[in-house]
Order: sequence, then structure tokens, then C-alpha cells
Amino acid sequence: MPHTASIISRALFCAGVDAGIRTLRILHGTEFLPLVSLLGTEPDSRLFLIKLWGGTRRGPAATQFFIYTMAGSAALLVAFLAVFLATGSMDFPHLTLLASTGELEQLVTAHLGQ
Amino acid sequence: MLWLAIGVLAGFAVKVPMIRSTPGCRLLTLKAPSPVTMLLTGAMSKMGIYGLLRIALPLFGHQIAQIRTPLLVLAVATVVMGAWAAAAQKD
Repeated sequence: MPHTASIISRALFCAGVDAGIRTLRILHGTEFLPLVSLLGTEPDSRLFLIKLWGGTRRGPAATQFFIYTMAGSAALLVAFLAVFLATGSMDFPHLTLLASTGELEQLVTAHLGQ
Repeated sequence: MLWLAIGVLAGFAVKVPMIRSTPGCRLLTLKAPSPVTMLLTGAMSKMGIYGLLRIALPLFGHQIAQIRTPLLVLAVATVVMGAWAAAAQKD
């Protein structure tokens, strides 16, 4: 059994490294949809880790972890959907340019109010 | 606009995690094998920081500056509570 646990932990570590590299590539890009899909699925791996290796109260901790991360991801998604509704763009460099000139705030305020 | 900035900050704060917003992290570090713990605490949590610097700050810099003081309080609380929780560990 310890041998099996060692294999599982190594496999999870490799999967985690792979996920980290993919995360960096997505965050470095300029597209929005991969980012949202990543933020939605990234907590799942950690949820399994908590369920497998958590302490004595790992069940409630995993549930709490899932609720918190999903709430955070939902807030992020709603915020970026609002930005998209106001500007019609999901291109990060373009949005950064709009924000630096103050135009982003004007567009969001005009479309969605304060 | 301020609410949008708070929403984005909340999304990344959970990833960081700020003020132990993911209580499982502390439980996990008790029993997990070293590679898994290293990955979680050393790599994954930094993704939230990267997202904050890469996305939240360039887009919502002015709004984040408006809530600078509450963010400072949260940051200090995160540091102090993290150290406190670590000091309370027996293993």
C-alpha cells in the first residue's frame, strides 16, 4: 500500500506541474475563455488532494474549500462579463490600454452605472 | 466599477489564499506527502498572485488604490494569522 500511495503522489505531482505550466501559458496569453475555464477547473485537483490527505475533518474542509473557490470564480466571471458587456472586448492588452486612459471606467459607468 | 474590482480581487484572493480563505490548506499540509505539499503551497498559491499582477492591477488599478487601506489590513491579517497557525502546529 505505501508503494501505491507513493505512485499516486508522484503522478499527482507530475499532473500538478503540468497544470502549473498550462496555467502560466494561459495567464500569459491574451484570451479570456481559457482563463475562465482554468479558474473553474483548477480547484478540482486541490479538492481531491484535500479529500485524500486532509486532516481529521477533511470532509467539511473539502466542502468549504469547494464553496469558497467556486464563489471566488463566480465573482471573477461576473466581473469580467460586466466588462465584456460594457466594452465588447475580452482582449487583455486592449482593456489595459482602455484602463490606462480612463476610458474603461467611463464605458463601464455608462453601461452599468456606478 | 469599484464592485467589479472587488469581484476580481475576491476571485484571486481565494486562489492566493488570503486570510486562510481555504481552510483545507492547513489541514492538507498536515498529512500530504512532501511533493504534493510543495506543489500546493509553493506553486499553486502563487498563481493567484500572478493573476492579481497580470490582470487585476492593470485593469482596476485606480479602484484598487481606492481600497488600499482595507487591503493592507487583510494582507497584514493574512501574514499574522498564517504565522500564528504555523506556531500552533505540533508536527
